[in-house]
Amino acid sequence: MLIQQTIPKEYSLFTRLIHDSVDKGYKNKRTQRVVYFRIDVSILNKLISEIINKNKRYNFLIKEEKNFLKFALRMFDSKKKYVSFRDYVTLIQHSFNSVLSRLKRIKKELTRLIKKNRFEVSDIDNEYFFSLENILQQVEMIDKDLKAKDWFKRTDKVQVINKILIIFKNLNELALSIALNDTESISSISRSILSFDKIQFNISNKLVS
Amino acid sequence: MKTTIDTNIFLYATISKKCAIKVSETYKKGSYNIILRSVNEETKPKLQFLFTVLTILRYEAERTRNALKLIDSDFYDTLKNKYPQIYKAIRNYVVKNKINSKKKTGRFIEVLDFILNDIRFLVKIISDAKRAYPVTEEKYKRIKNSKIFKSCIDSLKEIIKKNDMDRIHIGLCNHYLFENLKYTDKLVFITIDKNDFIKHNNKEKIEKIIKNLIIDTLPSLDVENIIL
Repeated sequence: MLIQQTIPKEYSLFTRLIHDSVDKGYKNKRTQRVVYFRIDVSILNKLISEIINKNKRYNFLIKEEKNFLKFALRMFDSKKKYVSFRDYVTLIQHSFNSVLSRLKRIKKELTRLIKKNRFEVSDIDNEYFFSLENILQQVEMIDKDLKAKDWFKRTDKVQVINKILIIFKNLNELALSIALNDTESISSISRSILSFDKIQFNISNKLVS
Repeated sequence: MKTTIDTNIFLYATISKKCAIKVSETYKKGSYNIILRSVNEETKPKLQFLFTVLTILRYEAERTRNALKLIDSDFYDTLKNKYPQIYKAIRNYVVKNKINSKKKTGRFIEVLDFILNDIRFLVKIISDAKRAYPVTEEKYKRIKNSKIFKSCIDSLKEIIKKNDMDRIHIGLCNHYLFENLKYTDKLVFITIDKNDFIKHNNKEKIEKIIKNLIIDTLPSLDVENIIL
């Protein structure tokens, strides 16, 4: 009964490229600006167009994911050379919202099926539900902290954004592994959740302090 | 040898201070008597099943003022059939506390949240293979024949027979084990007098009791005879 969400490879690749920017960004000494994406942004634009075209046929994107892509498309279209910090922050927030909404959608669908079956579901389904609920709980806590603290206005913003991106990257991978894989991924998801506490506490404490 | 921890151990409270206070308060009032089945790899699916049911109950309780009607609906028949004690305990709580207003529903949700957190905690513990059983057969025999093991079983049987809620069982004393004791790879089952436990300041005394009560496996009990 596991919920399989249809997410094409292109979307998965795109989100990974966005989240990988955390490791790839560097400061240009001449201009003193941070370059977040080392790859040619036209590649990202092309990728977005492919995703949008595919979505016209299969309609897999949810509202938040569409907003994320629209913003990215606009941003990469207008600024070929540099992405400003402000835009980058907004992009990450869109990305975060889309991952969170995707997880919520998966949970909603699973809850509906569990209710329909009056809890007579497999152990795997229960484990799956357990994992999802825990991810969401953790993410919502982080989200609350972030909103309360204007994380992007901090003086050590580059460091903060890197830390936040690491969380988003992990979340994105979790969401994708739930969406793309079969039952074999459940144990790995569970393991990730169990170690997720540590990540959450580390990041959240630093942000709040 | 496969683990001997079976599903016949009840968890009355975990080491979580908040939960312990909550449980002790509810015991004092005699209005709430929640029991969860515990705790090993065999029970993981059961814990996760409970988690699913209670999570859905928790979210549905938010949308209703009549928790009794909710829990009495056919929808929770699976819980009722699989875990009648737990179902009955939750239902009793709802009845005795007259959960029929928004404010009271909030308290009910809080209780459910405590239980859900306990389940999370337990699943986390049992998911780590290093912390689980079994011991070797030789070691198991030695433990099983030890005086302390026998007295623990007797004491436990007595408590359960009398349904003695003045004593709190701590199913997994993980916190103390990992932070204070040398037995970092063992699970223990201990019984502590409620008063010692409530007065959480008396940490040294509790540690002393725990140290003296360490056993390497958990006793099997006749749960069917427990009256709630």
